[in-house]
Amino acid sequence: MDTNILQKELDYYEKNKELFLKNYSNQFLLIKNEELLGSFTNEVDAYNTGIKKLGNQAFLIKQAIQTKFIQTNYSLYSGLIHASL
Amino acid sequence: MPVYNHSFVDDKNIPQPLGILQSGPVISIEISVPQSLAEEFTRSNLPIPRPIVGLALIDTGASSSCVDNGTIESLGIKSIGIVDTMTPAGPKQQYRYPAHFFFPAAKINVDFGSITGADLKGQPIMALIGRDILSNFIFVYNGTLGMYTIGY
Repeated sequence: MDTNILQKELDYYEKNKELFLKNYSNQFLLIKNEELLGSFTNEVDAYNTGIKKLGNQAFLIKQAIQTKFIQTNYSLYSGLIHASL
Repeated sequence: MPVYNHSFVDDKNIPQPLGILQSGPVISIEISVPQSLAEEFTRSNLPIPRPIVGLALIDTGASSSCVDNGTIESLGIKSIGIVDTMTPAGPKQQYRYPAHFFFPAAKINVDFGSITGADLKGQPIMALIGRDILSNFIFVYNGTLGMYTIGY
């Protein structure tokens, strides 16, 4: 991933994180540029609203949670998918 | 509970454990745009991209399901997030995308809030089925008989 097309949205989230955690705990936030467009109980509803309001463009859906999720895909990132002798 | 069995057999229906050893627990998959995006394409008088058909590997080592970046791009799906991934070279960020999965053999539809884009270029698979989907399934890998079972 060369350039982060969602950097503006992520910066806005980080800047307001404490407020979001207080007011929208566990909700999925729909963010475009530096604007919160809505909060939702699930990711699909947030996406559907984003598509209706913004059309097919990149926008951020971020769950307001304290924990940071780190993804692990051991075989993929170790280059071992379909490795053979 | 519906059950889907996938056996690796030869033309005489004799189990071939080597098949599952070599290819892993793979399943046919169709990846398409989410319904709301299909409606947006229609509203914009744009053609709805046809589902992309290929193989997915069931990977219990993957915390989240992944789709090849090229597949996502060809469907015209835009990113909705970023996730931190842990790689041997250190942490790396990947985009997240919404998507719709259909497994025709098992007749299972999964509408994803988001999956992770990954570079699967050069692989015989175009998606990894991770523990986010498997959290809804019972999955049994039978290496001695060359088969796997999904209950859902």
